[in-house]
Amino acid sequence: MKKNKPVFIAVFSIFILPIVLLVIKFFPSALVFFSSVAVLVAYFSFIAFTYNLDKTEIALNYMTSWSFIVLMLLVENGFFHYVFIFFPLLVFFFIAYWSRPQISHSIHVKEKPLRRMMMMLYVFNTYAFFIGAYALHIYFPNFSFVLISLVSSAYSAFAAFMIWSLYFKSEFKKLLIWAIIFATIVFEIMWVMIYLPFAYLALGLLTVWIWYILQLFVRFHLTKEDIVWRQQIGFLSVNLILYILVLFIIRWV
Amino acid sequence: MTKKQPPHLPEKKFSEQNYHFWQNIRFIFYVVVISLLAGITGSLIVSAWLEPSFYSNEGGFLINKNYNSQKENISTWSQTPSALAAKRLEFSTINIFDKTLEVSQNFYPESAFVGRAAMLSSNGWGVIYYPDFNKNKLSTWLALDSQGLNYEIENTLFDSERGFVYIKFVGNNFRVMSFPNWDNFTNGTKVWVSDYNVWKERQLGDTIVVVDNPHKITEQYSRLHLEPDTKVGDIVMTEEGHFVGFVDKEGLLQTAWYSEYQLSNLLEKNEFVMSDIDWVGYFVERHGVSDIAQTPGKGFFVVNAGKNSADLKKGDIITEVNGNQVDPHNLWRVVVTTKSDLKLTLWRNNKEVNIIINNFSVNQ
Repeated sequence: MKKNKPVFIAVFSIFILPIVLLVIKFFPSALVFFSSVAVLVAYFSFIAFTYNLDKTEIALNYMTSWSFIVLMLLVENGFFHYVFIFFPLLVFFFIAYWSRPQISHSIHVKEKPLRRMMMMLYVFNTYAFFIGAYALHIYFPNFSFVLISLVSSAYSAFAAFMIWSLYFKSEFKKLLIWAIIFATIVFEIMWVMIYLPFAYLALGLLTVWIWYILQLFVRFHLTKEDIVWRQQIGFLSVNLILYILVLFIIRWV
Repeated sequence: MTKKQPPHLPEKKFSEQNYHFWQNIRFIFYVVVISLLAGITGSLIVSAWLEPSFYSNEGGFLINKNYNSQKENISTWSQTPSALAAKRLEFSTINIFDKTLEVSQNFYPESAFVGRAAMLSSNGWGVIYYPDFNKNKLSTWLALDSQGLNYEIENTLFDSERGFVYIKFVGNNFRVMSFPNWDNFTNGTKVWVSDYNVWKERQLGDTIVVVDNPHKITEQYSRLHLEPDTKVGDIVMTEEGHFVGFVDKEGLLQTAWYSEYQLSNLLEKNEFVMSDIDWVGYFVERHGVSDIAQTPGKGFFVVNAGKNSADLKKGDIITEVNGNQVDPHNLWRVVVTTKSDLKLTLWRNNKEVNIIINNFSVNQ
């Protein structure tokens, strides 16, 4: 039977990613990179199989680690590298302590502020994954974009699924259908995005923006009230205007 | 006989069955539309993947569809690069024009085209081949991307040894060029060159030694000739769209290897970090049989050991660097890129000697 995570494991989970990022930053070689990532994956797999971790915590451990590694590799500004090294301390503190299910609560949906923070984390992770996907296409044009977009769409659908499951319990089948539809939509959006003449950071933002709104509306649709279009029309209009505006100004942001 | 409505119930106006049927119809219609779109997209992707020429960019200004490759005796090659490479050139370059040659508002003669800057970083660093650069030229330059957007120039850095000008454009989120595997470039390798609007397929020809003897060990020893004819400043790319370099004044390929190597310094410090190794000499080969065992076959003969290497002496022949025999074409790259100490094997007074040199670096 799986046991609960001891304190030292929780503490080490907070520090392992910053350590790996520091190693990648100061020893830039392929061997160091792959070894560090292998150690990270092995560690998170070990605690996932050994201790009684919530599925959200397991998913967030892998997804958030990958996000920071991608940003560390791709963001050119050296100052941000240090932000990416130290910010995970806070993020993994949140994941290790606050993302756990509260036994005192009979319903297993998260409290609203925690739900929001976890949703933000999933959005951030999806954004970082899109950035990595576009960068892979830009730096390695021989690598099949069909494969890149398939993996990215599956990832983004999984992230959307995880967000919806924070709000709805025991509706796996229903959420799965929406996740599949979602993956199809994201797959197609990515094939449009690569024809925009922007860098991966901008393409990631523009893709995740659409993804965010779509997953939000699917979530609304899944509630008893369904989408209240009268309330949402203003939100959609503002987003549409901002989106078009960003397309024009993103070169100078 | 139709079923009668029970008298105690109100008249039947609502059918639950119909309600669910129409609900399902809505969902089925939605799925059909999505499937249709996905199907069309999937078909287009697969067909473009299997037969890219079906979606060629004929008519696009970047592709010279009238180019006759037979004239150049390279008839077995296709006339245009992959659509991906063409798109990459369009998205990841900025064209520089001489605005003093403007004949009418936004109209320029062909001679106003100065060159094409390949974008290296998303925050605006690009590189262009322009060996006659001086800062005064900047005021006459007009930088436009493929959509006609104008970019201000914030900073420049001139690499006079290679004739490359590194330009920092004001802006962000530029699509950047990728670099190829540099070990794959030898005689006979196919590449694509492009000036402002014409693609030409070319191949790498003879290796030409470009240094004078004696020369600094860090100077590029040789370059590959591009065949047949090319124009100065043409951008050189691979079939896949990797940025290889530029055509220089002698029609040789000036690779962007050094740009890739210095990119992190450019981003972090806005300058290059140079190796301070300043040994001067030339490559020598042994002819004839030697009476002394272990006499090397070739090496770099040191004429001047420079200021920073007390252990190296005039007359030494460097035969190995970090355990590898010296290769004239690659030695400069090994010396430039080694950040740790250099372990040298020397032939000194008919004896093999091993020394270690600290490789310091200085900012340019």
